[in-house]
Amino acid sequence: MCRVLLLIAFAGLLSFVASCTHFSLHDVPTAERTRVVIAWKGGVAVGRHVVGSSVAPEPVPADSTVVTEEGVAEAPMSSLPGFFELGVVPGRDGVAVTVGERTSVMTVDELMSARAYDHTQMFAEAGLGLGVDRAVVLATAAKELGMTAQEVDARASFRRIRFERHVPAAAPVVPAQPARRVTADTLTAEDVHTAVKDASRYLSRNLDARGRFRYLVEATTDKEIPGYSWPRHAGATFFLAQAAAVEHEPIIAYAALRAAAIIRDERMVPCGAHTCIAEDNDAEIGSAALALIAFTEIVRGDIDASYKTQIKALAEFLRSQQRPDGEFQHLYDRAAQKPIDVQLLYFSGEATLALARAHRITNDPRDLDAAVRGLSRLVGSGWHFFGDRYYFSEEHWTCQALEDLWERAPNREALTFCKRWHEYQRRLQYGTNEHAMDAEGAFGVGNFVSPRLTPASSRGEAAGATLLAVMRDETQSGRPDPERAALTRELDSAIAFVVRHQFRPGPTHLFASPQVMHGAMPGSAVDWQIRIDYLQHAGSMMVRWLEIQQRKQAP
Amino acid sequence: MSGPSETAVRRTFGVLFLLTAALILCGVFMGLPTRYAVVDVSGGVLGGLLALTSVALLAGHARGKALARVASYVTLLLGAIVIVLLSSSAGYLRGAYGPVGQGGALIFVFVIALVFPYTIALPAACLVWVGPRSRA
Repeated sequence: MCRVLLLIAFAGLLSFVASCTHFSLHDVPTAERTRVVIAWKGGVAVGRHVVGSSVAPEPVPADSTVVTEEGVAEAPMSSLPGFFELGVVPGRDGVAVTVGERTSVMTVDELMSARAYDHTQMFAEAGLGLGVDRAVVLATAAKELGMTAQEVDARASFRRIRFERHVPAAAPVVPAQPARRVTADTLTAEDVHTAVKDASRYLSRNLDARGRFRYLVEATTDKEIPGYSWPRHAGATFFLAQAAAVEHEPIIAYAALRAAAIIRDERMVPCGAHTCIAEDNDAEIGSAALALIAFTEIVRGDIDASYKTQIKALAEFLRSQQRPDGEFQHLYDRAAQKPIDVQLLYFSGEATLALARAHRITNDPRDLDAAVRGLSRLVGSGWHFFGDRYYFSEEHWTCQALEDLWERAPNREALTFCKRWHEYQRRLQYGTNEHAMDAEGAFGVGNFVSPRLTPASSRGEAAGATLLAVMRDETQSGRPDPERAALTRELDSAIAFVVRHQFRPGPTHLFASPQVMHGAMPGSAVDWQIRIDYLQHAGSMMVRWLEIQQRKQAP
Repeated sequence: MSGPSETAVRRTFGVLFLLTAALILCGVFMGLPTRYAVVDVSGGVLGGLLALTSVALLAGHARGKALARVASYVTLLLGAIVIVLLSSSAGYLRGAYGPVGQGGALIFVFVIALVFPYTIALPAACLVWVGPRSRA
């Protein structure tokens, strides 16, 4: 038995070493490197030449940006479905497809332009895209090699190529801003102010005359993708109001007012005896909560005090949705005029924060009481089971509610809960060189998933809020909190990650309208769809960071 | 008196107990993201007990089988408690939070599937091997 076990262990080890050696990247000598020169105009390739190929270079069209991508390292790829898709590092590796003597190369820019990264669904979760899209690679190679995709699939061998991009100085690329690499150690207030300004200007620019945002935009084509979310509209409005207060730009305040007005004028409808926000029969409390958060910021920032009326009305609606145990009923049936007792993601935390903020404006003790009970439920009886130390829901709104309530109704259980949540999150936060992509400061669970900006932003928002609560607690108790340094590091790393990936201006040669995209926050380094909540979470995190710096400097 | 097959079985259980001890200790102290005294102490004691049993079995100690019986009962007891608590947690998340809790419930079911071989199947098999305690 022992011999069999040893034999299995040896075979496994041998297999590991052989595979590792075979599929690892090896440097390519300079003279043998693949070089692809592509002329880009309006985000479209208008000319292409592989250096050293028998095809003569085409003349470069005027006003195009000529970009050279150079393959500095290569490795074989498995052609097996599943292994193939996961065989490249998105955003860093291109693919070479060889059939007989002929080879077709797809560079990183070409794969980005074709939106071929992170669009492979390999598991039941439809929202999780991974690796490189096999169909796009096969179809592109088939076109270039003059055969069908099925023939390529049957006969081709594949290599991944690690490309380096060389761009003329006039066309800067991510992460060209600022010139030094922004990390937790090098982050400055100027970096954050600039990022906040650019993000809020992007949202202001992408707001139409009615006050609706361009909700989801594909950066490469500048085309809007259908769909709209009013909770996210309200969230983006909140950030605009925050940015207006911090950056003192009238145009941003004006955009916040336009975005708020459409909620007030077109979305606030009767819900029985109360007023809610709804598009059809079922009203959800998320829209009401985030609108309330946005309206309170508009009043707090002295942008428009007239929103006090709507704040009072929405706070009443939220209170009417609260159960005696503090939990919220997340839906309201307008026809039947009664709440529907279901719980959806985020809404309880959002409602709690909204009521906490509303109390500052209304001074109605019922709002404070409802917020206090909401927070107690979120961190207490609502999340109390075996394993609650190792499994958490999304708690970024909860920790912001903790901070907002701290001076009026400090909740130590909530502070402990948020510290624990962050301790857990920090185990998922990438350090230097822990991912094949630029992931330092992002949160994730391994190399196959591209690090995304919004999880970093939402955790950063919560880290900033928890840090502020810790600082207030330190002031009150006179005792230093050992968690403070870790929370500071977590927040700084998350902001640095987000700042590095903001389009300021991004790889403009791949964008149809680079000016429109300036300041946008993409989904990830390889997902260039821009949704308004990506900017909200990132922007609100950065505004929180600026507040912390101000507090640190206060005497 | 133990024959060659008895020795092989004893050594096999020794190796399996050693691997299980390593898995439990690594899982608790390296895998779990945060520290929680109840789980850390239970995992530490169980891992230590299994490691000790493993050494006794591999060394052919006279009390190896008796220790294996105790370790198996303790493992079974803790395994059963963990599985019942995880099941109730999965049910709570699914029941109280509906679709929001479904992901957590699935993770907990997955964890149950992971711990079952080490905390239920292995000690049960060991108890079959060591047999009932002889009555003096």
